[in-house]
Amino acid sequence: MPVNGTRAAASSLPRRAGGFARSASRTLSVANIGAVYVLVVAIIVFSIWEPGTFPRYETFASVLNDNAVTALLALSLVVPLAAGVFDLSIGFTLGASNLLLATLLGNGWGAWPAMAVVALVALGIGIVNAVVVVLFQIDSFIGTLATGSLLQGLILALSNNQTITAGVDKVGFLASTNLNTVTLPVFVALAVAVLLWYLMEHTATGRFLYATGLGREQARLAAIRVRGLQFGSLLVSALLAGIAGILVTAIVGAGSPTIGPPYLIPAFAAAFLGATQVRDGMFNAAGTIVAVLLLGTVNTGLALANVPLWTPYVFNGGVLIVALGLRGLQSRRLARHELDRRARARQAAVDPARHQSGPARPVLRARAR
Amino acid sequence: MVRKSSAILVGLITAVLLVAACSSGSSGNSSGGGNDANVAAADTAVAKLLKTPTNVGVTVPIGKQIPAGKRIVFMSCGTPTCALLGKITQQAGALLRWNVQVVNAGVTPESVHAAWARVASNPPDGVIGIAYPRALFSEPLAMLKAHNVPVVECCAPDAATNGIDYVTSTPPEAVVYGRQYADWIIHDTKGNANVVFVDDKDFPIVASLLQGFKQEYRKLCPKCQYSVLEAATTEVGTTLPSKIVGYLRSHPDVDYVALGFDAMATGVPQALASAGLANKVKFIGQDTDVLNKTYISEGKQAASVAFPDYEGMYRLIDALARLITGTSVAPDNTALPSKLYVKSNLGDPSKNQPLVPDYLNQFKHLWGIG
Repeated sequence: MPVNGTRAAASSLPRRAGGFARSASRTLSVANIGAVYVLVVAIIVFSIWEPGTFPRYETFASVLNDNAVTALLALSLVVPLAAGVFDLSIGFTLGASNLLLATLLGNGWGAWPAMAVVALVALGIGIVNAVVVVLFQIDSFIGTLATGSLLQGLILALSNNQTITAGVDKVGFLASTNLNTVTLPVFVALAVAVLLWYLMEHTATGRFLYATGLGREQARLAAIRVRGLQFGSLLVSALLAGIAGILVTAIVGAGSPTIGPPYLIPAFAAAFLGATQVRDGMFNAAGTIVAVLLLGTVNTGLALANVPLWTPYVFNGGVLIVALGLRGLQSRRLARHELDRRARARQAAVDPARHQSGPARPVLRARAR
Repeated sequence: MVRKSSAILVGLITAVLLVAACSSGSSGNSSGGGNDANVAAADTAVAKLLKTPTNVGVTVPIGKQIPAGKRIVFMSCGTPTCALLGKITQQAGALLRWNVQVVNAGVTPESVHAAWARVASNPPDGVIGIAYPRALFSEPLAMLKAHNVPVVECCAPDAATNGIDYVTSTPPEAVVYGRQYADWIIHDTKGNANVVFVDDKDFPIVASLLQGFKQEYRKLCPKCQYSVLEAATTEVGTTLPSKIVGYLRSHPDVDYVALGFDAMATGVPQALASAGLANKVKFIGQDTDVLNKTYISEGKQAASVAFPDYEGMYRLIDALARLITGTSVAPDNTALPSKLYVKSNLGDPSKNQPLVPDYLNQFKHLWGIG
């Protein structure tokens, strides 16, 4: 295995060094899970502000239920963003899935066959995205925006710009099934989060995805199948957006031509905020869930407090700016760390005796991104 | 640096929350109920509203041959509601062998102005506008007036002057819808309601609705409570359901929600059910869509004040026909027909239907055709 290849980079991503105490200290540090502490502060603030309504089980269930679809859509972004690819079509994929499911149900299809078809179509959308971005080599930001626009046209054509309600009650059970008022979509989002966490943290594929996102060319030179990974990542995001579309159909009880796009910004906000948590500047499932809970808790608290119309927008915008600032700082720190590590490795290879011990001396500085 | 940024985040949250805490939502009157006479008045009003209307509101035929082959432009706002109204207008125009073109003017001031300017640069034989205030297209309107192109509008806050030749579903009619809200709520709660009205200042017509609601509500139940919750159009279907539920949880005495328009209902029944409020809080809206009819049929929405989509759009084509033939515009121009949808008088919940069953025959009679 090459010393300074990206495989090494992938396997030498910042690890929790030292013993258990140092590991626990690092895991629980503000730098690692600051959003959790912010969430705790928010819970305390709202509990004091609205003592009669906020600190109750109903609030907890409400936060989970109201943000399940957003969480799923945010999770759909983790894999492509980790691989260095944007998918701006997820809102439209959600909308198209919603419309298609309502159309099929209205035409007499059963719930499960209709949902299976919708999932397959969502995968098809992912294939289109992947062909555009990976094979045609169009920048993912532009390419997926373009496919999103095509999907919006499809949505309008399919729906004739009208709401569809006939037959949609067949999937109502997806929204009404609950455990102590926590509805099924929450558990679906949780299951997806666990699967993604396992994929990204405990499989070689996950490490290769991160390596691809950290340095596409370096990953390719290290014999990582970059194109295959990016192709697959866009399939994952489209499929999860399709599942989100199925769930939203059950929740709303209709197919609507306007339902998808408003979910896009909150999903990206949560994914980027989540990247500043848990995984040291990289997109990850656990951080995304924490971000969704933080944003959802504050928005629910603000709703209970009957705040002015502008408050949630100011809060969400401010959090996103701070989160992206944190992400940029962490990315630069990570890049500097990696360059310093390689410099030390090269110096050690040249003069092992001289560079056997002592503090690391950074030779190269990372360019600002 | 990361620790500092987290501190900034905490500080941001705290600052926003403190500033927001200094503001408060608007609230209404003190507690109380309505007396029997007022409740009876509301019952009588509702009984009329539940009936199927029989008259489209115009009875005097045009009395002249309406020329065929006219090109009419329908300025659509691009939403599902406007799309439906555009289709109905095309059906009406087809009866007169008119070509009704639907132009998507969008919802932003720039797109509206640009669309009207494009239409004015190639003047048609008539223009129908929906919901846009004239300020957004004053120059194109002047160009159309210079070319003697009749312009009619629906659902806009403008008067029929200076380039706009006819308006239907005006703010005074929206005031009537607001009164119908109050009549229904007082009837349904026997004068013991506590209402939150969900306002949206993006649509000036909702302000008229609120005005009518307050007038009738105070008249029939002077001591009943109401309050106003501000919402933005961008929240509809996304965060509005949880916002409404949050308000209801923080104001547990509220038992009725009056929506500024029916599209706000998207996602609300599920949000109420998740919060355990489905059996405690009811809601009413206006401008019924198939989604609302479905909600009503399933018992998730209490009622809806229907907008006469068919009668309204046919009325606009009728107005254009009168203007083009030089006949007086709607000489007995009464209000558009009105109906309150509840579970018992809904008809087919999967379709948008006319309120007046034989509206088509009435308009054909007015136009001297078929």
